[in-house]
Amino acid sequence: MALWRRVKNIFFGIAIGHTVTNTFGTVARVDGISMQPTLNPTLSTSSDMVFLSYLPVRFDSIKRGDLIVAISPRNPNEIIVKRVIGLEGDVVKLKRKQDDSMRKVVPKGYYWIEGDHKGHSYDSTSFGPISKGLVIAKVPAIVWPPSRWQLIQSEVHK
Amino acid sequence: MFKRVGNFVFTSFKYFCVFHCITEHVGVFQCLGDSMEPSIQSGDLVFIQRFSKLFNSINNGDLVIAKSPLDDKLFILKRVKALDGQSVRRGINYQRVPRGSVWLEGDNFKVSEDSWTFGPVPKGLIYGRVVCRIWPLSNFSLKF
Repeated sequence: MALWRRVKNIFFGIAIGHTVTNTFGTVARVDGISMQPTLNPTLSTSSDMVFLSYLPVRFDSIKRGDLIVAISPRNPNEIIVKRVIGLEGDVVKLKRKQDDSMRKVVPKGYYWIEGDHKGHSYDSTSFGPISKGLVIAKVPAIVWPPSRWQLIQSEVHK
Repeated sequence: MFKRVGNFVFTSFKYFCVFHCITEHVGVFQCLGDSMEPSIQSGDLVFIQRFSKLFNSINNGDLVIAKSPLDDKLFILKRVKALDGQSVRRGINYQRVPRGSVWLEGDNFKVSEDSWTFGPVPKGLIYGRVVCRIWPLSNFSLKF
């Protein structure tokens, strides 16, 4: 009987933990160089762990300049972290070469996302704007390693 | 008294969490609109499972529920017409489905707002696969 109660408690504990992490957020490791210098500033040291917050996506409060995590539109098993450059209705300037630039309007229901490491990032410049439904979380802070513990600034750069 | 209330709240929270863990993988949806006639009428209830998405086993001809690419609060129920790498044709329009996307179409092509309107849908937007229709009971069916 005591064993059965223990199994039941573990079962409920898993369920509660799962629900809480699913509602509020989890911690995830970042791989790759596409977000340098914000995340993973040096490759030699261990990669950063970031906190993923699910609530801003649920309440639709993503702003320009926020760091977000989304499912890659080209590979559903891959998850990418990028910065929101344009919201719906914004005009984005695409720079191909020095003098050749294109203007694009972000359609309704879409975001324009780009990595901070220009030219080394697989982002909206190659696959176009992504649908809002693909965005799963906002990244408000770096939590590990302790020396890099900080909140992530929401910045809009040219 | 307080202990009783606290106990009740905690027990309901516990069962709510279990409920959440179940609805994460299966669910019941009500379909509105006539874009899927004659397979599914407006007002039918369908049972969906999300394991197919987990194991990436979506095939041609499956009925799937996906988030609408144009409005992330809205779900759409459509049929998978082509997977990535395949191509679709209607009249003189010819489209190739890019990597990581699927082509969704409604059965009632005259009124359906589908991939011919908003283009191929990324696989990440697919929410689940329809298993069976559970309401109305007389029309219970596993095959669509």
